[in-house]
Amino acid sequence: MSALPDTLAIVVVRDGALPAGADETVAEAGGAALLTGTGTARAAKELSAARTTWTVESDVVAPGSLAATLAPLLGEVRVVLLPASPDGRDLAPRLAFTTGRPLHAGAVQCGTDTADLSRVDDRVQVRVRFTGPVVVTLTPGVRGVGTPLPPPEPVPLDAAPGTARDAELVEVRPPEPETVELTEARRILGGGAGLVRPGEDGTAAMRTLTEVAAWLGASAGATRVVTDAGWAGHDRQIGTTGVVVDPDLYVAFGISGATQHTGGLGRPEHVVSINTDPHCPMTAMADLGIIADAPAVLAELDRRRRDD
Amino acid sequence: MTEVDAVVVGAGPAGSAAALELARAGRSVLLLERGPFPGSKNVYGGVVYARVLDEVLPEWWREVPVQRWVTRRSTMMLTGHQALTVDFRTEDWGSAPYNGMTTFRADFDSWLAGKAVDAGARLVTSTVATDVLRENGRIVGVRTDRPDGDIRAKVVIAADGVNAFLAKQAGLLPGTDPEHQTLGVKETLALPRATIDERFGLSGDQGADFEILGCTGDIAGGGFLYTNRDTVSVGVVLSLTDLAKSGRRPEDVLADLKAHPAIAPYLRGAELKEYSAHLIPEGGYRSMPPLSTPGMLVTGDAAAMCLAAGIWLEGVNFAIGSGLAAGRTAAEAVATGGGLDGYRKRLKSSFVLADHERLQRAPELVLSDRVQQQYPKLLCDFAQGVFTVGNPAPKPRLGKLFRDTAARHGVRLRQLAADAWTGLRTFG
Amino acid sequence: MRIAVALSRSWQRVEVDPLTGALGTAHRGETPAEHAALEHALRLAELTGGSVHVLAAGPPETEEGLRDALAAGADRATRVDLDTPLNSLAHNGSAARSLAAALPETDLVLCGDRSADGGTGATPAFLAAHLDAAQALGVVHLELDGDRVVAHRRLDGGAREVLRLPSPAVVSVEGGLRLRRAPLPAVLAAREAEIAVVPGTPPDTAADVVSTRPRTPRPRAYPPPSGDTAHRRVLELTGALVDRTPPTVVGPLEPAAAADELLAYLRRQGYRS
Ligand SMILES: Cc1cc2nc3c(=O)[nH]c(=O)nc-3n(C[C@H](O)[C@H](O)[C@H](O)COP(=O)(O)OP(=O)(O)OC[C@H]3O[C@@H](n4cnc5c(N)ncnc54)[C@H](O)[C@@H]3O)c2cc1C
Ligand SMILES: Cc1cc2nc3c(=O)[nH]c(=O)nc-3n(C[C@H](O)[C@H](O)[C@H](O)COP(=O)(O)OP(=O)(O)OC[C@H]3O[C@@H](n4cnc5c(N)ncnc54)[C@H](O)[C@@H]3O)c2cc1C
Ligand SMILES: Nc1ncnc2c1ncn2[C@@H]1O[C@H](COP(=O)(O)O)[C@@H](O)[C@H]1O
Repeated sequence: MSALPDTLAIVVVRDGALPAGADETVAEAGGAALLTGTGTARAAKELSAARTTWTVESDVVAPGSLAATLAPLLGEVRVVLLPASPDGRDLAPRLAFTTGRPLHAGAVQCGTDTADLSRVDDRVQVRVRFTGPVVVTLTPGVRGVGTPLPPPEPVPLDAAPGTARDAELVEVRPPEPETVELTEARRILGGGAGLVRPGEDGTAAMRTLTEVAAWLGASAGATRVVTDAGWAGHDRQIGTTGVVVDPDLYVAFGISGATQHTGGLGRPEHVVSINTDPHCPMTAMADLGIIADAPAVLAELDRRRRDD
Repeated sequence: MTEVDAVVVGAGPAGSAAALELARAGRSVLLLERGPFPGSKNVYGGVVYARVLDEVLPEWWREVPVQRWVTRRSTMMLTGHQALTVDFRTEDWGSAPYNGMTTFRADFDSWLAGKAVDAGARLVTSTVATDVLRENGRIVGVRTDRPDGDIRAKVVIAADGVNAFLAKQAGLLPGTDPEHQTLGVKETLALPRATIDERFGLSGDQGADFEILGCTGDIAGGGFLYTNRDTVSVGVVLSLTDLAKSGRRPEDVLADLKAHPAIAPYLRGAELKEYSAHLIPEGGYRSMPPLSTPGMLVTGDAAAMCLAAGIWLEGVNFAIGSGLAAGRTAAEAVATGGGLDGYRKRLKSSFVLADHERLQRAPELVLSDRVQQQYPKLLCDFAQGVFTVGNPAPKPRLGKLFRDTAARHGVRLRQLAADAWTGLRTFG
Repeated sequence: MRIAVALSRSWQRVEVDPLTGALGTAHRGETPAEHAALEHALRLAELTGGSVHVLAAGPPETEEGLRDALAAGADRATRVDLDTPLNSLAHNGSAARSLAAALPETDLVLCGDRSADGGTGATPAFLAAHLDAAQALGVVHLELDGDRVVAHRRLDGGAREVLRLPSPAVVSVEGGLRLRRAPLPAVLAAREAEIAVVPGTPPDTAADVVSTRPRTPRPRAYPPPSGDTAHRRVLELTGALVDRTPPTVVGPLEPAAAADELLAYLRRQGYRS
């Protein structure tokens, strides 16, 4: 059994399925991956950025006991990296607490002694330096992965199952029809905070967006700001803590383009951003940036839909 | 039901000043604000002439949240391609007691409301007054949009701003009169502090205040350009009736001003931070509603106390002045059980109504076609004539040049003299 | 059921200077997620005949948010006196330590999924670790099954994990559930209500922050081109083989012109005939 390296990616796997950002995190860790959860051996075959893979299979995916199981193995590992996917965000603080390390959550880049953290809804980037051991989570979608590597043969690790108080799993429900519709949509119109004027009813705006989307053969999605405000269902939220989509066409209405949002966007062939701010990240990554008032443009499109 | 001596609706400058006076007089007072905090919803240009604060707090300038102190005031007259500027600056305004300041409303309104709260007023935010409560023809309180939200008060002070919703509910105003309202639109643009200092010729916490005439095309109105610490505010104030007639959008008028060769260099490379629009009562003295009805006083913009006539935009000082008067009147009425009639007299003896009375012809004059259209063109062309060196032709005689220019613009000298006289009587 | 709700520091919204990355707190706003947490707590307390205790770790201004919570129906409020400066955005977990120490015995701690001042949602998990409690993060639906709380939590790709919670448990919820409106008398009463203040535990080590600046996206790595000759690979890399319009930014445009621009683009790219 080989010793664990200085920098290690820990990826939580469910039923052999890798979470969002798994390969990116492994690539960021230089190819060293430890898979834990259920179906780790199967998942190991799906990795495309690993040079060495270890596995720690467990009965259930529960953050308290996983942290207790993994903590004793990490003595030599200085930088522990996890993807900021739902299970990664769940486990990382517990690992940090159990191993007495600081947590640097929501990194967009992680080196051997510095990390760039995205803060304040992705509007600032804070660089921290560390000398001792740390736990870092990496936001999915920020770096991409280069040449795929053939998956190495995974090395199972012996670990005594740890225990901690965890919630009892009732079931895992498959995505709802709306979510599936969104994940499979080839064209998506996305609504963000800029689509709703202060004080106005966002639910109505999102309804109009859905109708205009249908007219254009597309589905409607939204940012976290919109779903948090209750203007659209949680199934409509695109992003690293929402639905991960992969359309050909994405039209963003009043969306700033935070990494947590674009991290769930796949690689659309065509991106249009309608925003009043010509410098926001969404417009910067768009093929066509239209500087205009998004609510007014939507109203205009809705008028044309009715006339059509 | 909640019972208090006085309820003040609206925590703008007028409402906070009224609540402050009531609290200082030892009265129980509720200050209602519909926004999440005072100033959160308030739009204005950016300059406050705050000497009225002497009545609120000695040496207020030590703690008021200020962006810059105005040490430079310019009045610009524009035509499509010309600009004539009267530019005044003085170091005197850069130290106590100061003259004007640029400040953000979120900061300023919160600060002033804080003074009222410190004095004992109770501020309730995110709460909208939805109606007045009546009993035997008298106003005895307000209804709010909260559950169990009726408030009974000996005096209601309506300080809810230009829409004057409460005054309308009380039947003091027939309805909105677009003739007497203008629309203000404004953009806040970000520039590095050093760039602002350099372009406007400022240093330290000095600020500039430009009022602009002739920049609104066929629409009666005016423009302004103010400096904050690291943003500038640029905006136009437009007659609602003219705007409707012209079919133009207010953003376009503002875009034209920003693109004017005399303005554009100040704004080059600036990044848009915020766009906002708001109505302003424009009518002045002549369009003021009755200021009180049994049980209720109207103050600030709700009572059209704003002085807004093209190049003036003074509302905050008048709002504070009238709010203080309303608060004092209400406190007295509560103490003596008397009526509210003293309010108008109090206002008259202060700058609030005195200024308005004296300036009552100003809106009409400043918004007249001549001042809006003809005079800027006349003056700019005249200045161009004076400053153009036409060699080998000899320099023109100034008197003749002026008469010729006036004739070319169809300005009759008699009318000009009459306007000058009105102007003198109004402002002199 | 004894329920605690953690409300973050003064419900403040952080402003970022687009030029320098400097932070300010000019605008106050509300966090839908924490409002939702409070509303969930009030409902669960009504259903189970329990009580709601709101806590916040922060400077005195934080009490404003606690008073709003009392007005909405919370029974008790505690402020943990802790003044972490804004620029300590880098570290995580210090609020959790202080909150855990101040928490009374509870069955359920409800948090927002992330705090208003730009947090990462790690606090609830740290809280669970401190309390040796079970956790459910990113919850979009909460219900009562007998006397147990059942939480539906987001997983990857839109799947949901349904968890039955033991006591104690820490739950972080996303927004979407609107907080009830407080009656006016309650708002007034809450202003005078007593708020317990307990000392906090300042973090023992601060993160070593090298720089703070506005965000700039990082270049992404893509798989290398697959062409069989060097020439084709270069063409692929430069995108010369794909019929692609270069990125353009147009405007500012009027709504009608903007709609024309969008529809024309969709037509050019073959999405509309
Ligand atoms: C742990 C964590 C997980 C997260 N997960 C997700 C996630 O899964 N999905 C997600 O979306 N977010 C997620 N977020 C939130 C994310 O960081 C951003 O806050 C969010 O994506 C921003 O949404 P927005 O673009 O709608 O709003 P904002 O960032 O507020 O942007 C609004 C945009 O609208 C523009 N605008 C304003 N007015 C107008 C107008 N009149 N016309 C046109 N444009 C206008 C503005 O210029 C701005 O660009 C997460 C955050 C954290 C901390
Ligand atoms: C574009 C523009 C530029 C201006 N520039 C300047 C300038 O440079 N200098 C200057 O001195 N003045 C300027 N003014 C005028 C100035 O803004 C007003 O005169 C001043 O704000 C009036 O104060 P107020 O307290 O009467 O009303 P407001 O400031 O309007 O305050 C009213 C308050 O009441 C609240 N409210 C309203 N209805 C209700 C309700 N039903 N229940 C509860 N609360 C309610 C509102 O939220 C608000 O906080 C400008 C105005 C505009 C539009
Ligand atoms: N200082 C604090 N005081 C009370 N609760 C907090 C504090 N910081 C974070 N929380 C809670 O933890 C949640 C997630 O915060 P964060 O980890 O900062 O994103 C918030 O929504 C709050 O419920």
